[in-house]
Amino acid sequence: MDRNAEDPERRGTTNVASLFAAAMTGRLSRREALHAGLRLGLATPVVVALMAAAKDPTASAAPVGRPSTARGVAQDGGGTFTVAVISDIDDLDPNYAYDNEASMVLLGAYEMLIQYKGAATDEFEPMLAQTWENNEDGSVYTFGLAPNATFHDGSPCDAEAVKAAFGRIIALAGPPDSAAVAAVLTRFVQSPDQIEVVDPVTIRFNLGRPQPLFLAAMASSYGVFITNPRVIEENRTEDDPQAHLALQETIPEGAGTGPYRFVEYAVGERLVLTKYDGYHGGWTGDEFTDIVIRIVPENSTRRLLIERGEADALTFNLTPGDLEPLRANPAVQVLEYDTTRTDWIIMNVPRLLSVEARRGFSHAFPYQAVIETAYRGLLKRSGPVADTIRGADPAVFFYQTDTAKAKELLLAGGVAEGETFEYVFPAGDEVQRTVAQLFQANLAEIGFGLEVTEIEGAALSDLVYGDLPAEEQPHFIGGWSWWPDYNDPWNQLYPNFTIAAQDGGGSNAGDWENTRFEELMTEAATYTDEARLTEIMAEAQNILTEQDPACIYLGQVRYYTVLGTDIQGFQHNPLYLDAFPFYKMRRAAG
Amino acid sequence: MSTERTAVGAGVDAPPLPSSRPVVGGVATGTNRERTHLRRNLHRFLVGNRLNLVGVVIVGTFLVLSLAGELIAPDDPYRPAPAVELATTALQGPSWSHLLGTDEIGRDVFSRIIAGARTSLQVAVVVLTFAVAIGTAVGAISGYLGGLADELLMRLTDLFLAFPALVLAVAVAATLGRNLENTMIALSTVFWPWYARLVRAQVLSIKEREFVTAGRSIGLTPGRLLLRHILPNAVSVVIVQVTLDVGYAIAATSALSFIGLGAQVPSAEWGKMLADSRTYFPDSWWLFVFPGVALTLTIFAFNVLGDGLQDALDPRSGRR
Repeated sequence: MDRNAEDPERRGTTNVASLFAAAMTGRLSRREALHAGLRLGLATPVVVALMAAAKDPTASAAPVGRPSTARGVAQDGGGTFTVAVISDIDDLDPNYAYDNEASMVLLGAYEMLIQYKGAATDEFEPMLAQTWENNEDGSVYTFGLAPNATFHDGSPCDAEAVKAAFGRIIALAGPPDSAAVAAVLTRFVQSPDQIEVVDPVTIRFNLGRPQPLFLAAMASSYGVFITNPRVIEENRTEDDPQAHLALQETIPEGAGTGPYRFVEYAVGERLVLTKYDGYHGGWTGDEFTDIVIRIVPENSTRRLLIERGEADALTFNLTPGDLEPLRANPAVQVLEYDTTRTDWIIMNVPRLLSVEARRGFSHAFPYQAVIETAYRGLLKRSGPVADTIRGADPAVFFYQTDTAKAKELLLAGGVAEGETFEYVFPAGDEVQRTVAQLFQANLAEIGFGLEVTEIEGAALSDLVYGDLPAEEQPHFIGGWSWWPDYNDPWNQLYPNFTIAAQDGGGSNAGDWENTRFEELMTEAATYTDEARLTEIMAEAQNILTEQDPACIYLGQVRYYTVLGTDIQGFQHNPLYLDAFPFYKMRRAAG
Repeated sequence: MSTERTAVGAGVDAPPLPSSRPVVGGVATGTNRERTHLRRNLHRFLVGNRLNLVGVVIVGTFLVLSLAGELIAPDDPYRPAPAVELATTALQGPSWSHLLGTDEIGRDVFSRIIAGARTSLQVAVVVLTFAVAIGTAVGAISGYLGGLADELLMRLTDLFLAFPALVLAVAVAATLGRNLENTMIALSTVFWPWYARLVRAQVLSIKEREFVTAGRSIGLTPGRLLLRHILPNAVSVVIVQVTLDVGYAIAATSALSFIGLGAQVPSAEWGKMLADSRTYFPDSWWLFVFPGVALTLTIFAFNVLGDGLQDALDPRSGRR
């Protein structure tokens, strides 16, 4: 018998409002709550299906409401440029930070001597230095600094200050307080004595031998930013001799020379930069006055922000599936471009036994399905060096998916029939989850198991950079990406495949090693002849792929930047991943 | 999870519920009046309350899908679509060929939900079997022996109960590693203390009843008394609690999978499916709506069933 029928007061609880009222007053019984929940559960798919069926098929392509005041105002210049990013910035010290999201922010507040020009990877344009030249053999480089350059505290950024700033980077190359990114400079300059102040606006680097890549390194967005020596001196302590300007609660005042200065940081929420009036490049009034970096971890929320006009830009952190509706949305522009980033799966060489076995796994991998399904076309086949980097071998060897051949090679390589392998990838990475499942399915087809586990990004980094013995590491580490600090194939390969990069020295987590490859890397480190570098790199890439595969190479990644249609002046560069030329960007009038 | 769990008859003064007829020395302790109560309540449970009937139907469907899923599922729930078809089969909405749509690698969502039902049932069975076995042993020994043994075992139980259940489960699962087996261990760890408390309360009550005194007086050993006469009388309360807990076990498993600690790819566990669908929100709505509905309905159905059984088996409920 329905108890509600006996109780007129309870009968009323079938109405949503009275149900809610009953719940608020504590008169809703557990049974009634269950009843309501069950109805809700049954009704939901019907309602959702009806809504989906009734949806205007062109809805996703229609312009999404874009409140005219949502983005920074300033149709006549100025205003705010808002970027939504996926996570907080770990480190804001420009000489310690070593990730692209930090670099994106730092490029607003700090400067290198020079920068890559537009989308070029071998041409440069001024930043803090207005001119540069080198002697005939490329062993001495001289930079002419902007005469009116000042730090954000108003103090001059002259040659003495620049020398002191480089001195700090050199000091960070070793103990007691070291930063891996310092190697970008110390590959070429190991001592402050090599830096000469010619006059207040001229600084010279005596490198001791020909260094054709010095300009490329000076344009890197990693580690070679100029910091104010006064700020460093004031923050220096016995425990922190290099005054690590790590985080945000203590955003250093006046440390940079860039067009914008830090004014606010709310942990996990936003970072705000505002224009520095004394910037040596000057202001026309059209530039943005404020840059807001909003931290928004959820993909769908970031996408909504740009669709609703509450953000001006998104970086490469949506799922590839989000791109299709955004491409079709006339209220945003999706710019896609090649980068220097390549993705691969690290193979644990000691545990995977033999070259044949590793070749077998390379043949078992579903390349085309991964390109089409996981990356949605934002990937093209490559070896370990992207074709946007000098020395990339255009004829690099590609494995083709061939499961029958894979099985043959695996068995010949010492793998037991039916064996199961461990595979980890970064948690929450939808692209890599799909990659793992497609690989798993291909291995299952030939009778091998793949036990896939998601692990936190930090744990994955610990695996890669830690010194765990090979037998305690998984057979495969998926989702590993690399791009060079500057346009140099040695810089791409050395940290990933040399013996020095094993056991925490770099990211050679698979303990791969090859004697001939080591010889080639030694030669490439000090090359002077571009043609010879090409030869060295062609052989090195062949060793890493066809001869003795270290990894399963997925390919090189195409990036995208999503912008509001009213944003102008964006220019990508294959080496500046996720970066924005804030100072050059504008909001279109109208 | 545990904070919302309904403990059945957890109080020491809760009346013992007749289950099988306890017979001591040839004396039947069950009565005709109790049997009449039971029949009347079961009739009311199945026929008199439509909600119970819906619960039974959903639970029945869930069990059929769990046990005979392969016969019903139209496609392989784990195998991606062939590479050449992926571009046209991935992330397709509901259609006649795929009733509930396809996921990011072209797998049929309906087939995966069916496979997920089996995973959920498997987890619930394993978790509750371990929890009931451990909890019953601890509770029975504690309640029957009393004294120091009772003190020690109950303090141990309190230790586990002191932690918020889901937090404890997360800690255990995170320590052991991310997979479904470890999730089951983690959940068994948080479920057993409730059964220990429940069984202890029942044993404390039943051991004072006349048939137990009679058994003791004719020289039955404590073990025989406990196993043959006391525990059978406590079992109906445990069954009701198990029915209620199936839903909680499934929800807890899904919660752990949702945060990445439970099932791993290519598992079709519902919480895992929900977690994986987040990145496709809101365009591929079928990826989160259907697993969400399956999860919601199953949990509600087991709750309704447990609630109804509690009413049906409780002799006092007829007077309400």
